[in-house]
Amino acid sequence: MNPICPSKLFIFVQSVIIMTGKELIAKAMKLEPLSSVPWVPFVGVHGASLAGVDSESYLNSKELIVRGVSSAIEIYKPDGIPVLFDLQLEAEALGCRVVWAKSNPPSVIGHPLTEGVDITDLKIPSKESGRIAVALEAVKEISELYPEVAIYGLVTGPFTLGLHLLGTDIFMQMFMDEFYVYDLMEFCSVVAKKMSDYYIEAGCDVIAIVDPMVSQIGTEQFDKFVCGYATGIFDHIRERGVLSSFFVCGDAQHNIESMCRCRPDNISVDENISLGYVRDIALEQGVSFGGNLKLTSTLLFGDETDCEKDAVECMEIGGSRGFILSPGCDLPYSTVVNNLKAVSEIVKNGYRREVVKAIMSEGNSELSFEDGQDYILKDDPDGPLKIDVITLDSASCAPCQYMMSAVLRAAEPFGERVVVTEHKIKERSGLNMMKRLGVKKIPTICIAQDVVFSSNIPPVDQIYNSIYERLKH
Amino acid sequence: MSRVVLITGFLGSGKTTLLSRVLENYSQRMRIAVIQNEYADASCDSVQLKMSKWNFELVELNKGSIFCICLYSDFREELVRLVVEKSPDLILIEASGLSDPISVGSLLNDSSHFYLSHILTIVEPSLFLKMSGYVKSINNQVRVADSVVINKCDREDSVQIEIVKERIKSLSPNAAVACASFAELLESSPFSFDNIFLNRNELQTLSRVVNERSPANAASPGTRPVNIHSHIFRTTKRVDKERLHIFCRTIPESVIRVKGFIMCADGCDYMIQYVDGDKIATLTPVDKITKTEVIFIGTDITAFINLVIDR
Repeated sequence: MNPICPSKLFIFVQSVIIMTGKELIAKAMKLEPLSSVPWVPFVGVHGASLAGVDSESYLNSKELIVRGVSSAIEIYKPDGIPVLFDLQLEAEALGCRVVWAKSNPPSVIGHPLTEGVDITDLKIPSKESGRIAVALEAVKEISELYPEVAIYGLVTGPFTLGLHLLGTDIFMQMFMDEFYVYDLMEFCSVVAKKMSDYYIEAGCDVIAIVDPMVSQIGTEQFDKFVCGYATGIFDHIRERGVLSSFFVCGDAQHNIESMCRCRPDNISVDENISLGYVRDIALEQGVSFGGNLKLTSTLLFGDETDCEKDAVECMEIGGSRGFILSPGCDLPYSTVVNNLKAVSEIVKNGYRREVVKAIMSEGNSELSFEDGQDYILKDDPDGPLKIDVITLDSASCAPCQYMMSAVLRAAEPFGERVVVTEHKIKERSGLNMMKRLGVKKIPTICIAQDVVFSSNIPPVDQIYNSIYERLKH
Repeated sequence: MSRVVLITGFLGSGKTTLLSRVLENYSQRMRIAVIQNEYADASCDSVQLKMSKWNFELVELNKGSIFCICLYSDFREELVRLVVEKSPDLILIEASGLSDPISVGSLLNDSSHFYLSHILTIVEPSLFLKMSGYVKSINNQVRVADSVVINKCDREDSVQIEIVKERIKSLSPNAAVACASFAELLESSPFSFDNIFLNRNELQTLSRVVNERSPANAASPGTRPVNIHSHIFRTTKRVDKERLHIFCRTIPESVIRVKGFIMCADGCDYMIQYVDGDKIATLTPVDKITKTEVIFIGTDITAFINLVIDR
């Protein structure tokens, strides 16, 4: 049994119960100091993977969306989550032709405004248009099932919707006929306000305006063609008493300041933009910010260690005021579940975070040949049995302290036949020892250079028996 | 191992015409696969290619690639399948007009099946001059190109062409720039398509590198390259200047090519350029950039990148 003080446990549990994910996100968006960083995995078609179906089936079924998002909430323990991440939803309802893929959201392939349709012919989608009813039903059910989680409603941003409707001709029209583009942006912003209303009425706590295509235009064009319309949308959401976020992916660094001036409560970016840059600009303008776990290089193609480091790095940069940890964009369908679980663990487990931070610390990443030689030379077969305990630091880390204490108690009866050494990975020598012994988790007990007990703290008699067995030989 | 040439260019610049030209010239001499990933009417360009008489494998990826690299999750998987099943010598990827070539290239990192050999960007002169101030991807595509083809030169006067060349040079000083009409290089072109698509220079280098290590496996022009990888290193973190200088002086022989942009911790930004045979990689100061993006091609590069730069 681990000697955990019951009163400490009560205080810990109480503090977790008091602060729900929804409250945590609200505090972050209001720039209030945070006890922990909120975590929002952008589960879109990845939910289809969790539900074991393809994207098309998923995005057309309320039941499957609810199943996918519920799984994500259960596995990843987020503070907030979007119900859908489908930037073709409104476009499809407005008559854009789409093509479906098994593991991606649909793609727009036909643009009504280039096929003889006039802007005045376009009708604002109703709650029943296209797949909107499916999305709203899913929001209702998820928000009822998980009242403690902040539910995000994702709305296609006006510029991206404009691009869906007009295709890449929108770039030429910005140059040739700017008033036509203004008319289009006006229509798209009305659609975004209406969609925001639908999601708010269905139970969303945060409305995110997702406008990735603004990464394609310069600041001058953003200010001229997007800023006013986006500001109107965020004002509208604020009047409805709901929090808002402005999502962009791609290299939109040049537009971050202008995006903040549109007065969202939060902006969210992907790995194309330096999080430190966004933090400085956003906080200066009184806007919270989020991002920017690497979608492909770590979450999709990396391993759990890569993801832990990425998360710690983001959290270190983001700080404890106004920061929400999230990937920068829609999680790929096949994102590795254990990678996202590793991120969730980093967010919720301060101890695990400290371990990863220690491993990442400057100057602690090299294992020198000489260090290894020293250790091998000192390993005398006729000498005492060596027990190496790899810890974060038993003076400040409770699990490490319990493990050290258990090892010392188990070793005591053997006297000088056993030597116990603590290796703190906060120190370079400790980290080198960790690497040399092939230790992956902290704290770990190695006996005669073998990893014997890793991460969980064994009962004293088990450690005693392990020592005894080795001394017998 | 298949070589990949990434063909980029804004919509209407002539990418599909260029593809047809390449197929016409090379499809009888090597196995070619084409991957089209266009943000336009799904059927339009692929129909044009399908109707051609040339022998090649066509893979269409109309999967909404405009938004983000996140939508490329199965791209790499499909490439591997293509190489395993069809063993093409050359894979031509026609990237979406709005895509970021570096994002596409990074999906080819460290594969044992394929590597990024070349980025060819095609521009239409009047469109380029009008739109490059508006659409960021047009500048990005030129910035990272190994070669830039100015197409439709027959329609523009020489003064306009010179302005386009100057703009391209300011964005990408080391890129080879050539004029073309209907995607056919003009006689004045400083390079030929053979350099790119037959890849003579790189194969000669590869032959030497592999030969030195393992004579039995030596590659030579005309044979399929083995054991070569590409890696795009990308970060928004600033790189330590001292480490960068060490890196420039200690590039091992296994590295054939390095090019890209590097953001340093002291606030200075550089373009880096190295081709096999250079003593050191050269650094040229450039205007402010927003992230470090470096393309490496070689036989054993990842450990080297991790050791020297990614710290």
